[in-house]
Amino acid sequence: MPDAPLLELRDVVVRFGGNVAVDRASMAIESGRITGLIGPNGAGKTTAFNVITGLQRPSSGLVLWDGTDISRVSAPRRARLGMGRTFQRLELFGSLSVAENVLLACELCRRQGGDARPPAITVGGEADRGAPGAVAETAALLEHLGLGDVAATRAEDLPTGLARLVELARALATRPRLLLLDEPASGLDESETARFAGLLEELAGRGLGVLLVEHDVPLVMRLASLVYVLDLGAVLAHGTPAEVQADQRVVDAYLGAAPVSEAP
Amino acid sequence: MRRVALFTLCLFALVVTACGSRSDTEASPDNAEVEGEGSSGEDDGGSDAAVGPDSTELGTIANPCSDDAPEGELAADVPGVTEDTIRIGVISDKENPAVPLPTVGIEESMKAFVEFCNEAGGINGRQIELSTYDSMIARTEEATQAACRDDLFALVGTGSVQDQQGVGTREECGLVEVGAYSATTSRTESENFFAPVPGLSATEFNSGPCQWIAEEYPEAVTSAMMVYTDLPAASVRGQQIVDGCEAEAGFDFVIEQAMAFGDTDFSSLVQEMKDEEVKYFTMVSATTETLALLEEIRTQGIELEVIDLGQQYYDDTLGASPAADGALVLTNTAPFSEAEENPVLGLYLQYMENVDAADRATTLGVQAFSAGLLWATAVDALGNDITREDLVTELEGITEWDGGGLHMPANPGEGIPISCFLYLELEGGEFTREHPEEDYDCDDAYLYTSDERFES
Amino acid sequence: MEELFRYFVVFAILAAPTYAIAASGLVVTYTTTGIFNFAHGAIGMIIAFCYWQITSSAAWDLPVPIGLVLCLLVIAPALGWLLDRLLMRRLAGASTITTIVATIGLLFALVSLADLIWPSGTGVRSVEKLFAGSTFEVVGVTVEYHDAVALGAAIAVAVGLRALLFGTRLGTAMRAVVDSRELAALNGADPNRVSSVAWMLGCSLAGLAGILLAPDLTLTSIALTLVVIQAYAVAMVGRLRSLPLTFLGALILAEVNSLFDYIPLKVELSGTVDQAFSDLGSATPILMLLVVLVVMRQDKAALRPENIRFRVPRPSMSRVAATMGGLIAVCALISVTDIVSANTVDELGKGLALGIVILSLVLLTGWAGQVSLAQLALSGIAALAVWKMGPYGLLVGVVVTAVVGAVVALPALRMRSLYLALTTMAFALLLERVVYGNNTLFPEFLPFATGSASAERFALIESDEAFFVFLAVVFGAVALGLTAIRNGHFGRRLAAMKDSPSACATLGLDLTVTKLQVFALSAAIAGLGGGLLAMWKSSSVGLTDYALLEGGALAGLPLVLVAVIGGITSVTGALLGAVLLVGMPMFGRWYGALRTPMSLAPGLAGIGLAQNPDGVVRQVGEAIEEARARADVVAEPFETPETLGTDGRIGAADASRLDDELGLSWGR
Repeated sequence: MPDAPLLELRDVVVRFGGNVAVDRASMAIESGRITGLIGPNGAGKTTAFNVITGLQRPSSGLVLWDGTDISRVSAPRRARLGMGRTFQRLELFGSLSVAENVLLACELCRRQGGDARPPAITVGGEADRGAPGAVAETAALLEHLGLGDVAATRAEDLPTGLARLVELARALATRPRLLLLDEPASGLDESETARFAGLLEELAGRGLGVLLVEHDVPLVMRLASLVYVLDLGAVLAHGTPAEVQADQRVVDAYLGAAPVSEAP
Repeated sequence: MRRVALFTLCLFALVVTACGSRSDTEASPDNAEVEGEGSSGEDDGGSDAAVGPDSTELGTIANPCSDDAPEGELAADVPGVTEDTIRIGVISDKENPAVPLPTVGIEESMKAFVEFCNEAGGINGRQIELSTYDSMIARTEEATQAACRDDLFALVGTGSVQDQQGVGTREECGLVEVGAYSATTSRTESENFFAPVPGLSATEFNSGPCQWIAEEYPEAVTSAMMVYTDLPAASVRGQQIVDGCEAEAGFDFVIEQAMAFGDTDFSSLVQEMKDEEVKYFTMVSATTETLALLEEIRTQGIELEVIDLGQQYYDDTLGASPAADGALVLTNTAPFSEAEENPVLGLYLQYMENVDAADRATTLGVQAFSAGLLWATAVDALGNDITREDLVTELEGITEWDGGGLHMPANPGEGIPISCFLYLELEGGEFTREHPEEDYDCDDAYLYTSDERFES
Repeated sequence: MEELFRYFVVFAILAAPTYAIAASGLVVTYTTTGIFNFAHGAIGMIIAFCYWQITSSAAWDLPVPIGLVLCLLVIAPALGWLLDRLLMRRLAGASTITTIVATIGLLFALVSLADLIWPSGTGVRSVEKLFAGSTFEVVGVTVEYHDAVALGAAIAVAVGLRALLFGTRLGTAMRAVVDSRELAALNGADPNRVSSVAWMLGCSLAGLAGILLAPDLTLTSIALTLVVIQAYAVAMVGRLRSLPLTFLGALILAEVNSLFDYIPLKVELSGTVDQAFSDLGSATPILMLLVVLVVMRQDKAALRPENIRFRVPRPSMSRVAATMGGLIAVCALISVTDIVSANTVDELGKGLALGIVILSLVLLTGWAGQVSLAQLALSGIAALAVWKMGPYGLLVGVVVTAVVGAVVALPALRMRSLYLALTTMAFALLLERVVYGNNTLFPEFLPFATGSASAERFALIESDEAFFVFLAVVFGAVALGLTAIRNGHFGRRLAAMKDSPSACATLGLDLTVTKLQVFALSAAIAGLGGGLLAMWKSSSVGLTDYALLEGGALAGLPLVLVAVIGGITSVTGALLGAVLLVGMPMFGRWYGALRTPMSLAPGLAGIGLAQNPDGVVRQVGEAIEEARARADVVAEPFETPETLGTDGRIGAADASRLDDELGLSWGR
């Protein structure tokens, strides 16, 4: 299926006891594009992430990867397909240094054959492109994300903003085809946010699919080419940022509360 | 569920030798009527004659302690021996705050012995120095190693419940041991080990008590019951009793049951007793467990003809419980209630008081005191030829020994298990003589040799 | 027929109540505070001693009702309140290993305290049964009033707890606090008050069980403390959450016990089978615990991330090498000179061998975040091998230990730490009861059971002096090897597994293999230590050296405690732990005055370290670091709990939603 999206959710339902956290949600995420996912607190965004990455098994519905059903595939195996993610509540390896966090991901990626995929960023000169050592790739990633100064710092000692960047670096170290970012910009200051936005666009430009959950709605609207709006677990609306912002239900349910000033 | 197994191991030690009554019982009028011969052969001096350090005789034996200088040259380089002193050690399980132990009082009894002997002038004028080691239930090996490293001539009066440990270490370092008792056959059978009242043996069994019971209660012994705690020392001992009593005295054990240590639920066992109409009950276990089961038996209204607690040590707890009333108890040493007629027992109690340990006089303590006398007798005979080898030879020659009347006649030199017994009965919280009326019931034929080996 | 009825109905019903009462206390405190109280039995023990003190004719001789009221309604609640105030409240939200260490520490402290106040002396304390001597008859079975009272009490406890939890606001709040203290606070419940009540209730239930059990037992500190381990299995049937299932568990245990009583008595079996039955019968609660843990499927709450707050230091190879070099030099000096007495060297050698076992805990717990109470018991396998096969059996022993370690880990792979701790504990107890202990299943191990096995050393290093240095060298080598592992890929993997299992999954790391590897490796190291311990002792080797509970004074548990006190996150901490393990009792023996403080020390230290599970080495190091240069203070991100759609109070509907979400069952 050449036309199948990189990742697709089809009528996914997740129930916790009597609660429905995700309610027949369907989404498609394409390579080379940034897809936004917004919604109020408790709308089921993180649960949707967990369903995609395999940490949460859906009660019903399908998860498709390149058109293949992966609903029953375990989280680690999905990661090996080329899914990288960050967490809203930081999940760094606190007792390891920043460099070790990233290095471990590089090493694991190599052991799992992930190095068949190209690195997320350019490493070294053109000459050793494709087969850089894990250490070299780590160094390049840290450098690229501006983490060189804190490479030796224990991850648990980092301020939140930097920690989020480390999570991103770690996710990139797995050489993902799909990058899932859960509130990556919270805790970043303005200039960091701007750099971060540039980075995301660069990654999408290299052909990565990016799914972005973010409270900073203007940021999402600026970066994403397609936006999904979740409310009470269901997809309320989806479309281009312009379409979504024009959608009356979205305005009523969610956007109305947050004035959108920088929308294009 | 079985818990701290060691704790009971301790109590099984007792199975070997009757142990531990507090000596606070005054001689009762009943006993006063009994002719107070401490033991056979004591017919000189009169029973009431008190003995002391200066006495030449201690009951049936000669006082080994004096300051008579020996003749000849002292052998060079004998560990622990100098011109004026002789150093010995005692290893025992001392008081442990967490568990009651039968061996408490052994160390004090050895102190009492040393005090007595030194007052008498030592052995051939050599003052005894005593090193004490606490084997702390599980540290017999370590205590033995420490004793081996110290400059000791011998171990005297030792008694630890886990005495299967440290055997190899002692044999290797060449220390001769005159123990108060042995709790396991590993200790009994170890090299250069002597005990004043050898009891435990892997093959020999003293069937005297069984035979007497069978004579007295011929009906009861055909529906007998044996319960033992499911731990090595206890189960082996229980099986040995079953084997010996069935072979020699016509017992029929309708129930032979191993019980998990700490099992508090006796209901099914008691039900089984009802169904089998058990008449004779004996148990190899900790006193507390025995008591708990006896209480359950009483509650359930089972009429037992004989409660034979065998070599259970008789203590205040047992005496205080109505459930144990009428129970029979064996003892190796003279009943404390007969102290007034037994001069050496009186001497022991006197010296326990002198070392401020009057409340720690126990039957194991008495055996430790006897071990001291036994060792001193051998050393006294050696004069200046004190070497460990000579001590062994001398001890091997002592084939008749009753500690001057402290306990039943025994053969420590050849280590032949006792073939005597004395049953006490628990009546209204007091232990009184049941059989024989005086002294001990002795007969070499009581010893039964089994085909099986009961090793512990 | 009537006989079956007797065994499986009457006897079982009479035996079950005390299990049920003891277990329900565990459940109440666990569900409301998330702390599994290993000291539950010790609390029951203390209350039973108080009861003896008040009512025994040998002590104050007050009437029984006064004793009951004072113990259950005054002393036990006061103790609970105090424990909550001083210890438990601080443990809220702590990692499981921390709560395990703290409550095991409490167990020790209480046992030492009881020994201090009520030393055993030469006599035996006994507690009278309630209505002693009064009986009535049911189907030919004479039932004591005491047992009837116990049954009544169990029913009252069941009804009372249900009424409390469902009929009162406090009860509703107690159920809500389970999830999150903050959440409950947001919703108007005072979590501190709830926690106080839970501990007061828990202590009273423990006390009630203790008083009911005491008449059947020797009133010694340890016997009473340990009997409550039976309650672990019972409580696990209800997954530590459901009270009705807990009561069912008590019945099941009683039935199983009846079965094991019934078969040997009623069915003609050959001697060995009969004996084997009785051996297994004595281990029924442990077997049941193991079976329940293995059979039980993982519940949802287990997916919540573990909160492990160790700061694992980064070991530097050169620093560890220097320390170990120093250690070996010191040991060499000790062995060639007389500065330390031979008796002390004996102890130090044991410390080094046990130190290797502690090192296995550093790897497993400190670095990989996996709890195990079975390390010492596992190490006994290698000791068996050395005893049976000679010095080169050590290699076989290490390999077998590794395999067994991995097998133990198998059911534990998906368990959270508490279950893992209980599983490993059950396994350790099973090893010591059924394999090492007196057993007809393994009669050839009898010398090991009685502690009279021996072990040969390698011919080249047979002397004590040489072997002592050898022990130091092996310790140093293992420490260095572990450091290398820690700084390599496998170490990073372990740290990742400990810090964030879910992040591991998203990196494609399958934790199953890593867990198996670390369990096997750590068991192998423990085996090495155990085998060397046997060789160092060379004679009188046996059960007591490798037992968790048996062995005089709770042998194996202190290892865990002391390891944590020394510092479970670094190899140098393990060294300190080893020194403390042998040093503290040694000081106690040398200086009589120190005996009491030294016996109390491990327990108190365990409690004291509750908040700082990094151990002494780490803390000292940190203090120095801080003094040198004040690091930038980094504010922890404040996490707002996700709000529930409530009006600010937790109502019955919300509580039930919560219960559902957390997989709780209170028996609705």
